Amino acid sequence: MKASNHSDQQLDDYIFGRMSAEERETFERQLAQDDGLKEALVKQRKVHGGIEAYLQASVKSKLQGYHQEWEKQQTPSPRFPRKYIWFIAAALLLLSLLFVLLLPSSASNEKMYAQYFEPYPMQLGDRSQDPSDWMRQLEDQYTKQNYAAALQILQAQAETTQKEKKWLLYLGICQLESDQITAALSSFEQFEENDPVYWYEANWYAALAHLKAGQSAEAKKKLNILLAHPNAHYDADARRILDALFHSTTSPISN
Amino acid sequence: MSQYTDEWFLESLRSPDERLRDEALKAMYFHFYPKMEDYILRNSGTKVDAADVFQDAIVVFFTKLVKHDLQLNCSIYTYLRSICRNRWLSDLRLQKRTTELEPASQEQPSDEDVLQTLLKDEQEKMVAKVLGQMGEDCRKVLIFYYFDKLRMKKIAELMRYSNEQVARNKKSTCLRRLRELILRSDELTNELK
Repeated sequence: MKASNHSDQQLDDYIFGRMSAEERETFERQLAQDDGLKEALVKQRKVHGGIEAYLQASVKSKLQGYHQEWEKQQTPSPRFPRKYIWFIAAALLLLSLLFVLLLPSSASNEKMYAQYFEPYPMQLGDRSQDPSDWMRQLEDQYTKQNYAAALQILQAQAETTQKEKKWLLYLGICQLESDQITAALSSFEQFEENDPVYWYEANWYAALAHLKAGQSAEAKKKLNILLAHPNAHYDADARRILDALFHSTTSPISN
Repeated sequence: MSQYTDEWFLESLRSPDERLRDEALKAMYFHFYPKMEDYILRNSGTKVDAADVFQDAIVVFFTKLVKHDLQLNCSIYTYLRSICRNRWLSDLRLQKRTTELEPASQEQPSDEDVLQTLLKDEQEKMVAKVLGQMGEDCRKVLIFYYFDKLRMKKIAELMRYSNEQVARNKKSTCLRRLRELILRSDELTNELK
């Protein structure tokens, strides 16, 4: 494995780039003339690469373990044969409905929703005094918390409102307050993570929508996503809701 | 989770203290994974894809960081997201699936970087396998020297050897042992052929 006139130290120093320019030049000159040295260098590089590969495999294995831990902290979803999935989904839906309707935790989710929901402020600037101006009407209805009416206005102006993301956020909020939760979630999901302004807001309201629907696990997931991107406005509330969800859960969660 | 800062992650992952590294790896996983999973799921991937892509991204990040081969001009999150995005784009291309993804920015690591870092040839795999069969002390000394590129003095300190000459001797013995095991493994493989 080793060329007779060269030590492992020299091979390592060469690979690590620890030789002076002069030493390196001399070494490379010898390398060009000595096939044994060339072979020793190739093998030494494999040792370096192999040790790196070992460590990478070891890190990957640890990460897989962490993933399992992370999954355990989420709502467990056991895997079943495909043919049973629809049956199980229907049963789960029924159970979820019963859960939402009957159990106190869903009532507390509702309570939390009411506690934390605040409409995103609508600041459309100076509107015309024309009472037929739709933006003026929208602002009036929205600020009076007449969300169903505000929703109708937004839907009637779909062509215009589709061009700007802020309308989509208001649309989602109006849908959420009008108990159109699926539609609201669909509106909030349209925000890409790179949207500079409204991504946090959309995620926050999506978390609230899940909360309102009694979907604690989904709400937790959204809140964790928010907390992964610190934002002074939402972090404290997100953490408080997560704590409350943690304490209200009926099944133990391992840390 | 938000008590962790990028500085803490970088410092802990660069530390040769295995417990601290593990804590940082776990915290990174729990801290960033939900968002990455969300991204992959929204782009035609499955949860299995998301976990695989994200784990490989952390491995690439960790390797580059420890080897001082990482120029971080953005947050860790942005960097990891770039690796995940490029890797997932590359996977989708390989699968010939047509999904519209945002183009990768110029600052992000290229697919080539990611793939090259993960690609290991057979001989390297053999070294890795044999290393896993060695005693813990030998394994640690070789990793400290070849991966973390620590000086003998530091290795002696971490391994609680009396001086750096002991560490140097230990490293030489372990390297010799590694080569013997590789040779034996090669011979066994050839005999079986």
